[in-house]
Amino acid sequence: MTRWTVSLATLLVMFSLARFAAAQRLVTGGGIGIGGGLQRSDLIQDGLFQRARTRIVAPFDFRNDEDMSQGIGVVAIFEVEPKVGFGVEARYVRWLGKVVSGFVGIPAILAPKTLVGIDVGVDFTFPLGKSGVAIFVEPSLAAMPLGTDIPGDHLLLWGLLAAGIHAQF
Amino acid sequence: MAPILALGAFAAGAAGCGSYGDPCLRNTDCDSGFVCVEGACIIDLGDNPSDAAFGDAAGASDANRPSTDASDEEGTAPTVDSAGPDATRDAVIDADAADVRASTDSGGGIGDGVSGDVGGDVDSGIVRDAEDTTDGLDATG
Repeated sequence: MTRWTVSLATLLVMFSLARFAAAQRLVTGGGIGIGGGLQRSDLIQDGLFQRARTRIVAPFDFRNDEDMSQGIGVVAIFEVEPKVGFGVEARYVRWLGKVVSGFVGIPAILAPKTLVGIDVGVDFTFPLGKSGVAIFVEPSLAAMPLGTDIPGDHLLLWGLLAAGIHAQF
Repeated sequence: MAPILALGAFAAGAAGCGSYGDPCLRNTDCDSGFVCVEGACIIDLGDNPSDAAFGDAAGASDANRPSTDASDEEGTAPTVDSAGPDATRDAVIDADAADVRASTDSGGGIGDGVSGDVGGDVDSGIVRDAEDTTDGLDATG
């Protein structure tokens, strides 16, 4: 009995004296922007490029506060002009400082027809004060070889530029 | 002024509105009922019910679709194929094929006859000439 009493007392003392350890915390950011650019395919007979669809993007990024140099991102894509479409993109993001980050992603247009590929890009984030709000500018290149939206066995290339507002939640 | 013109040219370079003949890089660049082929929107002639959203109603026929053949007269109704069963058409085709084979066989016989006649004419002519020459020699000798 004495043995159990001493053990319980020691446990209570250890819990009461121990400081709360900081657990891993999810750092989330998100924003909204507008983008556009040029597109190219071997289907084009005259001229090198066409204008790509204008899109509204809503990027979100998720990081571990113990390793803020990398994270994952999810981007909602809304094509709005001249035709509409909806898609998402999953990306791995690597921060190279507070202003610059690079990413590799898999964009996928899901509706009305599918289009899947891979893209690489860079994000430039310019903070607006210390509120956590920033302006982002994002040039990227994408190659889209798969999906029912591709006529035949062709490759669609996008050179895109997006800009908008980003905030840290 | 130059930047405005450049912007206008840039905007004009976008994929067309998606009607017939407009440039396209994606199937969804084309309007409903059209499909992107070789960089241009053309009429979707497919009857795949899974593409019903693009103008193919399930069970639809191509019979009433407008023709893209340039030789067709404008405004004429498309010719609908025979409504008869396929078996009847197949039988007619088989019969025609048999007729063609028969004509080909008889043609071979005609060819043989012609070549034989020609050969005979040539041979007999040579023999006649030779006999004439022999007769002449005999006469002079």
